Amino acid sequence: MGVKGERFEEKLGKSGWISLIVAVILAIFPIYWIICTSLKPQIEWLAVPPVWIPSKLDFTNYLALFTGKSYAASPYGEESFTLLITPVQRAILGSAVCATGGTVLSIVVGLLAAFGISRHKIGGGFFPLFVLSARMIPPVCALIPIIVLYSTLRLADTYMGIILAYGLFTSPYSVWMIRSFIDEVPVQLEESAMVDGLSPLSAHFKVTLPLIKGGVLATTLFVAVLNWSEFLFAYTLSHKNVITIPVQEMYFQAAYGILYGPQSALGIIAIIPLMIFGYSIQRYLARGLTFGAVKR
Amino acid sequence: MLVACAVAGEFLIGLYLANLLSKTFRGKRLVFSLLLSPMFVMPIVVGYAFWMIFQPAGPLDHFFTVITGINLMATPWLSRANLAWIALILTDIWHWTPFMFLVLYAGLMSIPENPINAAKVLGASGWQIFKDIKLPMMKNVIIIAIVIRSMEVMKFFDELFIMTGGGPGFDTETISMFTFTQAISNSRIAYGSTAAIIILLISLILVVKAVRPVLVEER
Repeated sequence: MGVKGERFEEKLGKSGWISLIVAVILAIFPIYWIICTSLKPQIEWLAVPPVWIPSKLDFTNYLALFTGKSYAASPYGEESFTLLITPVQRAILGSAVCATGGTVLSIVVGLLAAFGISRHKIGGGFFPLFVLSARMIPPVCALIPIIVLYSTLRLADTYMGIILAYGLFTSPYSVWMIRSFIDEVPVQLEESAMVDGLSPLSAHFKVTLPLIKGGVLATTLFVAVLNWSEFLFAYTLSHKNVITIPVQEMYFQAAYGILYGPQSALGIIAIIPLMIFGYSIQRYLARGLTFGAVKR
Repeated sequence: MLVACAVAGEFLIGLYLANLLSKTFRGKRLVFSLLLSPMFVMPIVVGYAFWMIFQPAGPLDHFFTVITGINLMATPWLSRANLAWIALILTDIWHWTPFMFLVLYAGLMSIPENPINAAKVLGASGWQIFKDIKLPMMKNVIIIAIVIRSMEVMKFFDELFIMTGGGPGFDTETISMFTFTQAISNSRIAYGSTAAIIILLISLILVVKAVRPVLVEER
């Protein structure tokens, strides 16, 4: 980014404002709709015409999530009927464990691999690309061999299995992202440290690592966001022991139709950490999503 | 088809927004953050949110009915093949335009000022500057953004799974969905694997032909 003052500052015209406002409304509306559904009593979930603003703030949906009781309107409109849904504590815990484990694994692998690629040119020009291609193929492709493998290794439906899969699938991101940070630190720093008697490994960790701390943190959050919202693997690799939030979302299909309210409430709970993480790494997002190709 | 429409839509909107945001105005940081927010929502939640929105007599129908005065309340968005495609494309555009916008904005911001200033002094109009200076200088970024998005759309799965499940019938089935249905739902692992290999080949060709030159050239 250039120095601000040097740029001929362009002002935003009226039409620009209008289109920006429209864009913001469009961007926010679906999120607003989830929030508003999560606060509606059951009668308004699918009312015709739709209820744009909930009549009163109603937190029963959130309560239902944690106590496991939900009102399912019986066809006759009484609200006394209660229905048990699985409490979500386990799903939140499951998501947290899997996301954390997968992220730690991915970052450790990514950090070491990035040093290898960036500083020692391991694997020449082809290896980094090979790593990247693991991310370019649709996950469905890798899913089949993983399922077959896991059933042999008895890893299906265990935290370990999902953590391994997450680590595997996000490590290309962390390798490429961390590598782009390491590439920005001049090699000379490490070389002079090695002249002073440090081994190559401790030169990496004592000299370069502190300099790229911010980058590694951004990568960590970025990978955590990916892991937290992963659905396909969680859905296919878990049956009973492990459950994550996205999978739990699937289970709100009750006998009387989908429980939109609790579903939206869980959605809101799930995206809050994503929003926090996402906004805090806004600066690095472009770099992460393009595997370090776009720098800012 | 999904790939082409969605990526084109995202690109145009993203480019337009990036260009708007490169100007200065009050509240820019807030607008920027708000515009990015769709990207942070989980794919699954996006699927459900749009599923609710696209319900017959849902908010979207109601909005159009009020605006146009025609009764469109019962538009079967997700149960008619063409409409279901449109719904899916709109969903993907909503979800990933922020990505385009973010990357293009980064590209726009990294253009050196001198050529732009020079052109201004020489009396070029805003559109000329955009077309003749900014676009060519952003070429690499644009290619990267489009290639990466195309790859990602090929993997489009979560929202599809929630919103239509490949239906009505098999009308909105993509190759990911097909593989999944065959291998997991129908337990025909071998058949699914074959499909997976085909996707793998296509993706590998794309990676080697399109992604590699771009990413390697950048370094």
